[in-house]
Amino acid sequence: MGDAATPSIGTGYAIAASSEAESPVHRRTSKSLIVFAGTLLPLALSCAIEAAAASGEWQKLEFVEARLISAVDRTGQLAQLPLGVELRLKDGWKTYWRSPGDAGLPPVLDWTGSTNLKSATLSYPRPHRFTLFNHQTFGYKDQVVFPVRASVTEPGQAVALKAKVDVLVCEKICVPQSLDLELTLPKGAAEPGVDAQLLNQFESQVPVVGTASGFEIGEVKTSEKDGKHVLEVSAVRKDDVFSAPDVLVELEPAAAFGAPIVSLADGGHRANFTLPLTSDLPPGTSLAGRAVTLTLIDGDHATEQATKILAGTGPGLGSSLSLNALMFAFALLGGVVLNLMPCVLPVLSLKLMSLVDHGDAPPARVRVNFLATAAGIIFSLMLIAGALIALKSAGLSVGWGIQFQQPVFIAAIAVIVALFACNMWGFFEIILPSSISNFAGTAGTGDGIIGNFVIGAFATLLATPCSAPFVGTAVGFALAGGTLQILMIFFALGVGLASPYLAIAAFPSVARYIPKPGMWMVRLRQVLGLALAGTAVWLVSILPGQIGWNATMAVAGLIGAMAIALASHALLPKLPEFAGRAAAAIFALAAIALPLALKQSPSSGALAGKDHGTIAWTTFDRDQIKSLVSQGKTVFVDVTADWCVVCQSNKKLVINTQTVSQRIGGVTVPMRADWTSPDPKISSFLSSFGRYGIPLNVVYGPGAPAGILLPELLTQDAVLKAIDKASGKSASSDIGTETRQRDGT
Amino acid sequence: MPNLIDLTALRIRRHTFALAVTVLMSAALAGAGLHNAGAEDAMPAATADALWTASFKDTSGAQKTFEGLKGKIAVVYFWATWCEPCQKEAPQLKALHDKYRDRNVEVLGIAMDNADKVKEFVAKNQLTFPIVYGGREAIELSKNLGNSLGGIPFLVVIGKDGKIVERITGETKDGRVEGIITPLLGG
Repeated sequence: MGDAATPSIGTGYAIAASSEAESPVHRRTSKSLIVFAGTLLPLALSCAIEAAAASGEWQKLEFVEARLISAVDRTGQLAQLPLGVELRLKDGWKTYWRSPGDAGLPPVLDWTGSTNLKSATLSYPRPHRFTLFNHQTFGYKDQVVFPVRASVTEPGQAVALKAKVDVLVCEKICVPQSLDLELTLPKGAAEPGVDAQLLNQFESQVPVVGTASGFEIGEVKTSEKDGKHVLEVSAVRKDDVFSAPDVLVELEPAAAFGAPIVSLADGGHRANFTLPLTSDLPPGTSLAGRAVTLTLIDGDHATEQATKILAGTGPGLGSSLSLNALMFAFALLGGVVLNLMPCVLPVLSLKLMSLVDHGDAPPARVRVNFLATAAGIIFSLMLIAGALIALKSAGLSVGWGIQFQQPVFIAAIAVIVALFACNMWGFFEIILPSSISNFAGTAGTGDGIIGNFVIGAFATLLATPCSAPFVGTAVGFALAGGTLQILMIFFALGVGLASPYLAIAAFPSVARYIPKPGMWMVRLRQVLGLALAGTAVWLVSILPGQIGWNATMAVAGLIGAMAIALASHALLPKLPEFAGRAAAAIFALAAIALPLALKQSPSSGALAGKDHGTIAWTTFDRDQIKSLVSQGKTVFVDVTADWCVVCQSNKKLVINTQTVSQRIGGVTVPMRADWTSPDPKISSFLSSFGRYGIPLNVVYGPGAPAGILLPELLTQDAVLKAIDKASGKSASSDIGTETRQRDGT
Repeated sequence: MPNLIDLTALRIRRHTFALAVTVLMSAALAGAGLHNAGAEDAMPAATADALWTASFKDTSGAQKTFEGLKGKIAVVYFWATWCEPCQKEAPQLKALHDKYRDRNVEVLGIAMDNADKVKEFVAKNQLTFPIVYGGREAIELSKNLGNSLGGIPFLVVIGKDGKIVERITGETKDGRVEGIITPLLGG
C-alpha cells in the first residue's frame, strides 16, 4: 500500500470501474452492482469532490464484498480511531451476528500485519431475526457495517491496517469466505472522511448498554412445564409504546430458544416475553442461576443487558393438569371482568338497553337474542385462537395487545363507539354505514339472530385492545402452550365474556321486572351515551403515544365534529338531515384516515421522523452562526438524523419538553442540521468538535462565541445552563444553576 | 418456443415493450438456469482420487482414511452444524444409509466443524452413518472433488469404479440421490 492510502474515489465509481475486468462467472453479480452503482452516482460525485481516502478498496468475492472504512481521513491526535468493516451481500444472502442462533458463524477478524495498531474491538449492529422452519438465526442482509474501535500505539502517526475477515455467508448454500482488507490512514489533521455518516449510522444501530435506549429489562425468570423449560422476560418502555418488540438471548454455554411469545400490557408500555428452550438441558437441571445477556429490540431502538436468570415462582412449576385448570379459571374470571372494563362496557349497556326497549318481548325471543350474542363472542374468540395457532405454527411470534401498534384500529373503534353514543343521545336514529346497518339496526331493536351474533363479535373486537386482571396471565400461558391450551383458554375467555348474556338467556323473565317505558328510559339512554362517550375518550387517550399529541387532538376534534354534525339536525331542524350525515361521514373517515396518513415510518412508529416539538427550527448554516452571535443572539444547534436513536430520545426527553423547548424557542435561534443523508458540511462541523457521530448539540452566544458542546445524552439542566451561559445571563437568571455550575467545575 | 413466437405475433403491436422485457427476462432466467446447471453438470468427468489420500478424525478422535470405500458406491456429504440448509438434509441421508447399507452403498459425512458440535448434532439427530470432521482441509477436499464455490451442502456420488457420478451443490431433493444410485446398484 505504501505511505499514502490508495484513493478510492467513491463507492459507486469503485464498483463500476472494476466490474469491467470481471470474469464471466461474476458478470451477473456485477450487473446488479452496476445498477447499484448508478443509484449511488450522485453520492459518488459528492464524495469525489472531497477526494478523501477514508476507505479501503473493495474486496469482492462471489457473494460478498467488503472494505474497511474510517470516519476520519487522517489520524490526527486520536488515540482511538472510529473505523468500520463494511460488508455488502448479494441479494438473498445473509451473514451472522456474534451469536448466530441455530446455525451460522459470527465474523472473525484478524488484524495481524497492521502497523501502529494496539487493539481493535468489533461491535455488532442490532441483527435481524430470521425464522425458517422453527430455526432461529440472527444476522444481516444486504449491507452491514461492523463498527470497530481501533486503539493506536502512537497517536499522531500514520496507521496501516490489515484485516483478514472470515465471514460465513448463506443462502441456499453456505460459503465460508475470507477477505483480506487494507486501509492506510496518513498522519495529519483528522478531517471527517466520506464514510463518517455511514459509519455513524451503523454505530447508532449497536444496542445501547444501560437504560439510555428508553427501555429497561426487568427480571428474567425460568420455569418448567411438562419438562419444557421456558424463559420469561419482562421489559418496560418509558419513552413510547412498544411496537414489535423482540428479545435475543445469549447464554454461555450456548442454549437455543424459539421465537418469543410477546404480550403487551400497561397500554403498550410493558412487554412480556416467553421463550421456549429448544436445546437440551441435562435432566434435573434448570437455567436458574446462569448468566445471560439479553438484547431487546423494538424498531430502531435496541438495548443490551447482562443479568442472571432467576428461578420462576408461582404456578410455573406446578403439575400441568392443575395448572391448566387454574388458567382455565383465570380465563373465565378474566372474561367476566372484561365486561366491566371501559372498552367492553358499552356493549353490555347496549344489550341492556335493548332489553329495556323490549321489556314486553316474549322470554323465548329474549333468550334466543342473548344466546346469539354469547355465541358471537365465543365464536369470534375461537376465530382469534385459530389465527394465533396458525401464526404460531408458521413460526411467527404472536402476542396479545398487537392492536396497540395500530392507531388506525383504535381510531376506528373510537369513531364507532362515538357513533353509538350519538345514537343513544338521539342525534340520529339509525346508524347507516350499510355494512353495519344490519347489526347496528338490531342493536336498537333487539331483533335478528345475525344482528345479535354480530354484536357479540363486536364485543370481542372492543375487548382486544383491553386487558383485565387475569386475562394477561391466562393468555400468556395459552400462547406459550400448545394448540389445545390456546383453544381452551380462549374458549374460557369467551364464556367469561359472554357470561352476562348467558345469564339473561338462562333467566329471560328478568325482562318482565323492567318498569314500563317512560322518561327514565330517556335518562338511561343519556347516561349510557355518556358511558360510551367516555369509552371513546379513553380510546383516543391511547393515541398520543403512537401518533403524538397534535395528531391525537386532530382525531379527537374530528370525532367531536362528527358528533356535532350528527346533532345538527336535532338542534337545527331546518338543516337537511342528509347534509349533517354526509358531513359526519366525512369527519369519521378523516378521523380514521389521519393515523393511516401518519404511518410514514412503520418500523419506529411516530418516533423516527416526526418531531412533535413546538420549536421553529431553521436550517443549519454554519456561516450564519458567527454573525448572529455578533448581533448578540444565542444559537442552539441540534445535529440529528432519523436513524439516530439517541437523538430521538434527546428530543423526547429533553429538547421537546415544555421547559426546554420554551427556552430554546424563546431566547435562541434554533438551528437544526439533518444528517439523515450524508452532508460534508455537517461532517466537517462535527469534526470541528472532535466528533464523528451524532447526537451533537452546541450552544453559541455572546458568552460563548466558540460554542458550548453539550453531552451526547442531554439533560434539561445541561441545556438550560448552557443557554444561560452562552447568552451571558447566567448570573441573573438562576442562582441555583450558577451555584451548581461552579460546583461542577 | 413456438408458443412464445405466436404470442409475439399477437401482441407485438400493442405491447412491444412489455413483451421485449418479458422475453429478455425469460432469456435471462433460462441463462441463469443453464448457468446453475453448468455449475453441477458440466464439470469435467473426474475421479475421486483426492478422497483416497485424505484423512480425517471421527468424533471418537480416531484418524480415518477412506480407501475402504473403493469398489463401493459412495455418497460423500460435506456439511456443518452451522450450515442452516444442511440441517434438514441429515435425516434424509440417515434414511438413505439405513436403506442401502447392505447393498454395497456407503454414506460418509464430512463435517467442516469441531468435534463437540458434531457429536451433539449426531446425538440429537440420531445419525447412524459414519461422520468425520475437519476444518479448512475438508473444504479443500470438497473443492478437489469439484465443489468450485467451496459452499455447503455439497454432495458427491462416487461409482464403484471410483469415478464421480454426480455432484450436487445446495439442497438435495428427497429421492434424488436414490434415483442416482439405483441404476448403479446392478452394475
